Amino acid sequence: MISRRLILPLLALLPLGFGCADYRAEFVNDERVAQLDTSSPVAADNVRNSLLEHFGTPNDLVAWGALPIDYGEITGTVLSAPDAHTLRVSLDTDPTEQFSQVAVVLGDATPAHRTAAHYDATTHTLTLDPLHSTAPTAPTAPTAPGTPIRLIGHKLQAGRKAFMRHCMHCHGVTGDGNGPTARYISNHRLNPQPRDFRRGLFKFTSTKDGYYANREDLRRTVRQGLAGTYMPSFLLMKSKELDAIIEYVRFLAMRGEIERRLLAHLKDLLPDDDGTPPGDLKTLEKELAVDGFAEALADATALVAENWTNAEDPQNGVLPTMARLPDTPQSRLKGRNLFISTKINCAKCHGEGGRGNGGFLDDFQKNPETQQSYDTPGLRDAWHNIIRPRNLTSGIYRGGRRPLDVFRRVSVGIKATPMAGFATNVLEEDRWHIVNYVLSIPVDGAFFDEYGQQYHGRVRLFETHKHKHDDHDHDHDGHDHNKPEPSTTTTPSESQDKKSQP
Amino acid sequence: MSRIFWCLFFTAWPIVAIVVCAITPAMDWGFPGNREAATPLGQRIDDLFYLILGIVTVAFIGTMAALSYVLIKASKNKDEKAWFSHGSHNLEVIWTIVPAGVLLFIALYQLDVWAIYRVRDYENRDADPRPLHLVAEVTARQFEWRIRYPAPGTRFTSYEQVKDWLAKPHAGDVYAVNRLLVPLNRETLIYLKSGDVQHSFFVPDLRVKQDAMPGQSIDIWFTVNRAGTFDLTCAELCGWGHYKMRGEVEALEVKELESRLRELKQLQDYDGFTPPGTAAASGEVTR
Amino acid sequence: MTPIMRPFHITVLATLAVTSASLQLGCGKGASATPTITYKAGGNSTPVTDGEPVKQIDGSGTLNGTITLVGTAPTPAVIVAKGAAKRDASVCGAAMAIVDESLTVGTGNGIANVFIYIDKTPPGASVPDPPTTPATFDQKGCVFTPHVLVVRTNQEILIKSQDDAGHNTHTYPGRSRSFNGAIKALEQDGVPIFYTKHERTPFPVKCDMHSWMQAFHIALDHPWGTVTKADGSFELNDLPATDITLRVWHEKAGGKGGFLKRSLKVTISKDQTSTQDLEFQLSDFGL
Repeated sequence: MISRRLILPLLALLPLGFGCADYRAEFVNDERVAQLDTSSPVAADNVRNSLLEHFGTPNDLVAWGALPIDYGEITGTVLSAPDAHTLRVSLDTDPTEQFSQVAVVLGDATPAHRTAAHYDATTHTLTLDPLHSTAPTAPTAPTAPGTPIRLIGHKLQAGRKAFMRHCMHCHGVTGDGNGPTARYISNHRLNPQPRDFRRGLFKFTSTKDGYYANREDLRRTVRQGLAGTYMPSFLLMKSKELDAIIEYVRFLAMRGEIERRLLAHLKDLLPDDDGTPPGDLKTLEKELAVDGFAEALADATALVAENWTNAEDPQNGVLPTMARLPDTPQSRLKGRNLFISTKINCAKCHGEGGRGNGGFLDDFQKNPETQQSYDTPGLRDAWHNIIRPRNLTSGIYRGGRRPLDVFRRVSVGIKATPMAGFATNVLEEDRWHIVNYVLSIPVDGAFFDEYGQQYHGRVRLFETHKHKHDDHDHDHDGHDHNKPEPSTTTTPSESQDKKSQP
Repeated sequence: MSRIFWCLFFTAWPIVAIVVCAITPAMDWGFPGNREAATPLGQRIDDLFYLILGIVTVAFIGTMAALSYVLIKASKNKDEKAWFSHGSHNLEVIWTIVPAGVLLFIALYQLDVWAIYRVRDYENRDADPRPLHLVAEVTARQFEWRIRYPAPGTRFTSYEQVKDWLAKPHAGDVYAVNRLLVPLNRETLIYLKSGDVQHSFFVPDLRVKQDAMPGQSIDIWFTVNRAGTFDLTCAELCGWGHYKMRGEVEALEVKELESRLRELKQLQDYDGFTPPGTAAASGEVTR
Repeated sequence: MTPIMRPFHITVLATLAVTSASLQLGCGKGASATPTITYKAGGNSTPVTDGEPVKQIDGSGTLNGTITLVGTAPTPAVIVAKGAAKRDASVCGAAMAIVDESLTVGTGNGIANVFIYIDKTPPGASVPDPPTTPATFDQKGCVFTPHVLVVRTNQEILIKSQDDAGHNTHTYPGRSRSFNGAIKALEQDGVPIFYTKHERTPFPVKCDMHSWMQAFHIALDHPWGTVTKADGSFELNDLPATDITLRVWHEKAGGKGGFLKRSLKVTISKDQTSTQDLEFQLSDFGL
């Protein structure tokens, strides 16, 4: 009798076992670190330890001064130190929220690192947490009054918490684009995966070729979303929260990039595809993982810091030097002619009708990391995903629909994709003609007839022209139905070229 | 002993319910929007709710009081035998007809509201000379609301024109996301589409809720009579981000609305060029 | 006397209590917890020099040699047969077929396009200034010429085109800024690019429009790097007269590109010519 009655309460203990297990966020390392473990555990440990030491874990972050990240800093002066764990301080800015567990840096010369457990705004008393002290020995002398104090990290904390709530689902705890919901996006071929921040590359930027995204670009992406993709708009998010998230995203990007560069430095220690460790392992290990490691880390950090800092420089932004040319039919026609010209080759990717189904999609691109061709034809981005050129008839512009945004795409291209910058071979006024044409395609159509009238391809095509394969929405997924029809004399691309000459 | 306990236990809950009901307005636990809808139709829906609440309260108090009386009386008197009834035809008739009558009354009383909300044929409004004020196309997507307005200053005078505008993009269209601007005291028409799965356009303060079905373009009509910013939430489970699919509906005076739309259009047309000697214009959406 | 609560009631209440307790305890705070922040100063962690003055190297010498393949070289595969290009046929492969250049073996089994270079400047060596003349990187018949290029950091490279078709040049340097720009047809002035940082290994340069087009560049902050010619021979002049370590890199080493020889130690004597002949097997190229 007793035991039967206890069944139900005992079953209620099940949640403790599954489902509600204490979820601790952890950064995951690049998969190559695990590979490195098999051939050179010393090298793998070095990578893991450096990342842990300089970036920490999501619950125990490290604010590293070498990186151009705004961690959120409050400066002040120590008024008195009643005991080893309490300080009375005068802060320069009143903290608007209650903060805790931020780093406390006392003095300039050799800062002793402590963590603030609690700050009482009424009594201006800072309670230090003894457990997290990273000072080599407990400070023996009480902190002298007048010592400058810096409380570092509240913005990083806010960013991390907000990121976990809003972004981690897709972008993952490490910012690797592998969050729990990311796999539901990969089923939909045409949608890009969530961004893997670890290359430090972002597609839609306002900076010149080769430069990174700046804070304003990231802010714009998060606020406006990327139309047509699974990246939603966070327009209603408060600016403060948004800025904190941006800093955390940069933090994750820099962490990932330093990891990549360290792994590139240790590339020769990785085992082969079939698992054989490299020959000459001991010497290589000594050279790369032991002697040269610190220098490689310093080099990677300096490069990353420099790249992210350069992106903020307004000189490295892309802005036109002339106003947009008036959006007249003549301008659009000029744009159209430039678009289909083989000297520029827009149509070879974007298609004669701008539907993103150009002939270059049939080519097998080479992987720049292995020099081998990919298995399937199609364009690839830096993350080796198949991507498609923009279907310009849809009216969806991921990087923004302002003339400035389209101008930037045409001038500088899209970072980390095959979309090149055409500032090198197309004059600025011609680029504005192309912008006028591109922006008019969804409304007025992509084609021009012999009278200079703009029309939508599909509509007229059925009326007067023979069925041409270039002008339809085809999937380029290995299906053969866009093979050129057996024509007697000309190839389809040549016949289109002939057709479009005015 | 235990009988008294359980009697009191079951009597207490109805009393608590009535007390909570009574203090709800004071505690602001009532309807969103400060207990008052921001649309005339919404106010009528609220009135209906209160009517039904009133009827139900009367019935509730009545039945609970009778039940309590019976329980307490019976628990005191342990020796008396229970009275056995063979049924009463009259009683049965009474307590069938009266509730049926009440329900019939409610059903007929609300017909008009339902008609305005869901049934009235708006397509034949061409007879109505008032211009259709703001039309916006709202596409619900996972997990945002994409909005397209016609060019600022566009006045539709017939439904045909609206349908034409809906069918394809037009030069001058203004695109926005998550923040829907609607006019004050004007009849607003929103066309709701879905970009992927089922969503639901729910603005609690306006008492407007309409499911978005993929492949359909559904019209929603309302008139906002209180200025302010109202929450827009998704009310149909659409994926893991359903809970955070929030937007805003901002009701503004017509003139201000027009100027805001013009501002959005200007930002949308920003070409990035700053003539030398002038301050750089901001290309960002600040509001 | 009946008890207030039967065993059944106890069970129900106990279950509720335990479930709520376990949910409270079991669901840890996890992702919503406030993280602890530790500060790490961004110190100057570059290795400190010894303090001893580095002895200047006196004099220079020459190194030459030939790199050959043991065994029969495979015939390079034809990527685009003459006149058979699917796009830009009037330009790509018009004059001659486009073959796979990943392993080019010339007369006497000499391996062409092998990079041979010093990685870090030997301490004490005096580095001459970079040349002021720009290097040229051209494309003809949809093939990059030269296939391999060694430049100095911050030396101007002019990307030209002899083709009457659009191309783009997309570089993937390890440390410098990448470049992805379109090159206009018959570009004779040249689009200037620079590599500002010393690269440790050669990196690919591709054309996205014509996917077979590939070349390899390296930028060094000293002049001691070269590539083998068609017959596999190379010569490095004015090398500092000291012990140097050379790297030998090829785009098909190990099948994916890498070092044929990671550390080739050679002693250069003043005013003398040393010779290093290297032989590699087909297996070194993954064949």
